[in-house]
Amino acid sequence: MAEYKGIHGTKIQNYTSDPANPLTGQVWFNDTSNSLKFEYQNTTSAWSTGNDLNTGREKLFGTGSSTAAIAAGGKSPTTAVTELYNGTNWTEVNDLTTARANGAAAGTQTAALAFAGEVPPGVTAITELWNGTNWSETTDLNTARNSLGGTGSSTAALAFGGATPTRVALTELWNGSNWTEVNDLNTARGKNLARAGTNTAALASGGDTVPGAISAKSELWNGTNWTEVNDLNTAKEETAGSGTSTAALNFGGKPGTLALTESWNGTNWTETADLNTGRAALSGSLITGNTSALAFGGQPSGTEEFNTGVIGGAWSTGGSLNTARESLGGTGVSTSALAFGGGSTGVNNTELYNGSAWTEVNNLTTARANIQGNGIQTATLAFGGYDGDATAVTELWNGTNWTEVNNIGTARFNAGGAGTSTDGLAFGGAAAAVKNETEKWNGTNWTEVNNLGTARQGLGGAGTSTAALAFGGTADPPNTALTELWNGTNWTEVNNLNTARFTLAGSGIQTAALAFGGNPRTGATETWNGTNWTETSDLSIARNNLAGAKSGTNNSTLAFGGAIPAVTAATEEWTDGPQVKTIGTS
Amino acid sequence: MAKTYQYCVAENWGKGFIDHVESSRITFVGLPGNVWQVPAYNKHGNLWIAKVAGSVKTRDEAQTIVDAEVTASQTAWDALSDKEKSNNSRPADITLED
Repeated sequence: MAEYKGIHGTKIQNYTSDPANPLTGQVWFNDTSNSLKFEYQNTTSAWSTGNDLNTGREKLFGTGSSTAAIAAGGKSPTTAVTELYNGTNWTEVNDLTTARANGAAAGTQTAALAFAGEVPPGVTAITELWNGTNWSETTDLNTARNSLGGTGSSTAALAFGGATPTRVALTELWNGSNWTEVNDLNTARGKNLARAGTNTAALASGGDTVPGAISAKSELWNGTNWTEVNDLNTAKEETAGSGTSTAALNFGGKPGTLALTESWNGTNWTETADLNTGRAALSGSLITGNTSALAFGGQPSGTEEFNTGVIGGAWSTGGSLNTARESLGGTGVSTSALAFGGGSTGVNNTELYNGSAWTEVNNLTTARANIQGNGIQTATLAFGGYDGDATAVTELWNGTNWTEVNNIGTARFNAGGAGTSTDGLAFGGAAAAVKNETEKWNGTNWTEVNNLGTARQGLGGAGTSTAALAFGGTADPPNTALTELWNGTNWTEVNNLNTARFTLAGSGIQTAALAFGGNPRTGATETWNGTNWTETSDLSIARNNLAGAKSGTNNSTLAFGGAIPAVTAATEEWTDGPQVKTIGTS
Repeated sequence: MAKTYQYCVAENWGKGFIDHVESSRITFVGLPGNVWQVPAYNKHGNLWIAKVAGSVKTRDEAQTIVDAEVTASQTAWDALSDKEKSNNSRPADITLED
């Protein structure tokens, strides 16, 4: 076995406090807490939305892989349409010879089998073979039925269960030319039980045993017999499945329109990431295991791709502010933040966050709302705001008290900010009209520099005085998704936010930022990689006029206060990317 | 038609009310009046409601609570001066889904 030193080149180091920028996989001993810790990459499983079928439909035949799938037939109305997925888009190709729905499919995008289903008004035993270009009819199943399970390949498939309309346990094997009846399922069921595997090692899950009796039962096929194994956590019908008999996924279904996804490890089902949209009567890819899949069609119709190992973040609740309020200022990082001012007409409360709770400390000298600030918990510059009118008041926080310093040149509220308490920027905002003025603070005075490209208020800010990012805001009206980059001299417009909004909050630097919340009231969270904004997990509590720990990062920050629309004291903590885990404490 | 969401009332006590793992598993929607929406027919949603001792509400009951909070916020906004109103927009109604 390799030793730690052999992998990392050093022995485990001792530190008095956790290293500021540990490498993923690094292990260290914290002398102060007597804890052995390591840095790991926080990954998760997730469904991401893709482009929908050209013909949205339910109860369709589907197979293939998450990057090369085939969808055929379906309803309503009953159709013969066939589409191929290339990992991004669906393209229509040659139709089934017989329009039908609610059957089963096996194989790949270039060699597939579609069998059984329903051709109104009855069920059918029709089997069709896809050669990558055309469908051709081949030998029928022995028993016509719909809503059955099907898996395997175009030359070695398995058909099981279904409805004639009586629920059946019948199993048939396809050898490339003919279907042969083999041993039945232990429990007869239909209503689209899910499938996985091959015709020598398959998995069946869910369905219904009679109409209304939804099943959680799972059975494994070993090539000869079906054996009952552990149930799904949630009974479901009109569900879909993908993978193998030892590594499968079951996703979507009824009752309702379920987003539930369960992962099979050969022994047990475990719940994993939900579909973004609950849907039933959907179809899916078959290949390969439980680490990737494609879900498509259904009620409602859509396409989603499942992947494990996705680097993903999430908001969790933190300690609530002592004073619920909106339009407040926020600085610091997720474990040591500062909240100041706020309210609809202006308060002067200041609170400190220690990673779990807020404590009230000395007040601002001038109570105000719609205030902005730059810096950290022990050194913050608060500027502008609304105290009955737009104000130019600037105050400096030294960790204990606020002191008035030189006013900002242009009185304004709802401005954006970036930088520190000694070297920062103020941009945009409003007084009688929206502003595009940008001012630079050098620790003593404000100096006017080049304006924003688009005047607006309620915008978010991140970065430094020489590399800043301005995003969102309202130009009174409309709300805007505009993003501008500051290079120390000029602003340049770059790619927009996905969701236009104002009075949002932000954290991070010019090349790695996070935008969250805003008006119209939203929990939308977007991460910026220096070029594009990408949507990620929403705040649990959608809110506008909130504040953030502005010196936080796109991997770790806070959202606090705001309007939901009543004012809220709620704090949420964002964590993404590498995390520190304590292995043990002596 | 079967429901997609379930609702409960639970007071947010802060840290640990919704933890990182819970948040990664399901989508929480916090609403006015300490109303929380989580997916229906979902084990993790049910476990979380039990953890926070949530008082389960029907959609209509939850809507009534949310409406009262929104109306109060709208009334407060209506009482602001025109200048104060210009800083923020009027709170919008919230319609809960089944």
